[in-house]
Amino acid sequence: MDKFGLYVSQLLPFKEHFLPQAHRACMGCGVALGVRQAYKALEETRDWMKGTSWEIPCKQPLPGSLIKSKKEEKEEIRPSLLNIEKRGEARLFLCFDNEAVEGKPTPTVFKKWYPSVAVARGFHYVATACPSYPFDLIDKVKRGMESEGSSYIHILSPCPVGWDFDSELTVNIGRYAVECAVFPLYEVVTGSYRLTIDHPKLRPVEHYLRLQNRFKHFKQKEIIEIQVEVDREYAKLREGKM
Amino acid sequence: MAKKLRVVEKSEKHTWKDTKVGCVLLEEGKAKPFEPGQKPPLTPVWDKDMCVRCGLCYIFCPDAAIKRGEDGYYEADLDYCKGCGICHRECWFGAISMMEEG
Repeated sequence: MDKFGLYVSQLLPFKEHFLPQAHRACMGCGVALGVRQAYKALEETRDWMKGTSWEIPCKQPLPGSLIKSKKEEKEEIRPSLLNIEKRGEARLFLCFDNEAVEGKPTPTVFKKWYPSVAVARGFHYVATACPSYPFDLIDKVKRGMESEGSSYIHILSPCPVGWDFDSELTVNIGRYAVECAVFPLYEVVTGSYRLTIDHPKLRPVEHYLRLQNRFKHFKQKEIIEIQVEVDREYAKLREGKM
Repeated sequence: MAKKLRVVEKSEKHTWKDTKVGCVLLEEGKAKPFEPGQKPPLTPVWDKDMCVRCGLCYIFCPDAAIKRGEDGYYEADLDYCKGCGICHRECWFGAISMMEEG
């Protein structure tokens, strides 16, 4: 288990905690791939909650629960992530992000960046990971498990149905997202930022957007605006302040 | 890939007489004992001359269908393979090809 740095997948534990018959995912699912790789870093710890097929104690809360406010007659989303940390318990949160909640993508509205929320909330270890870089992901889950306080790991998981691409491109698109700096891989240990994978020469964002049919309606001018925004965020990350 | 619906006969049907007192569930619901479903139209086939046994296909399989044999080469468990083609795409040496079964 200590040889993740060698990047040899034969040295990983062959025992599968994530059983193939335990999920009903579509073919080429990024969430199933992320869960399976994350479970390589975890071990069976307790006997309670043995009823699940996944053999490791876990809960699956929703990132946001719908709450109806009485004054205004509209629904608002309150993330449960904000309310849990204040109890002072040590837990590991894995967020599998398939970018499905936002609905139809628009070039002007960017998604809510949960790792920054977790950093502001005072998590001891916050990281982003992608199943296209399996050893990086396994390493981060293990480090999050060992940290003293709560830890939060945001995992990008491409969705062939929602993003509308061929199922064999799942790993490829995750790799493009990191190489275009749309989804940078970094970790935050008690407030200090560090990029774990830093490409010296970034790909243009267009390569990532044109692979998926959900961005088909974007025009060339809008893609340039996205490129500017992505470059600005990435320059902030490189300097270590976000 | 239209899936056939399982026809429930009348004798198998769960009625109110089968529920326990207080609607207690004695067994937890889990997916472990379920059997796998249909087989995919295209399945991966390894060319053992090209394969270098690196294990990239093993770590990138979402369904944990690829297993290591005794000789070190990898094989797909066709009960669990869904035919997504990630192993075919990610193999650096082009050793895996998607073939029709039979």
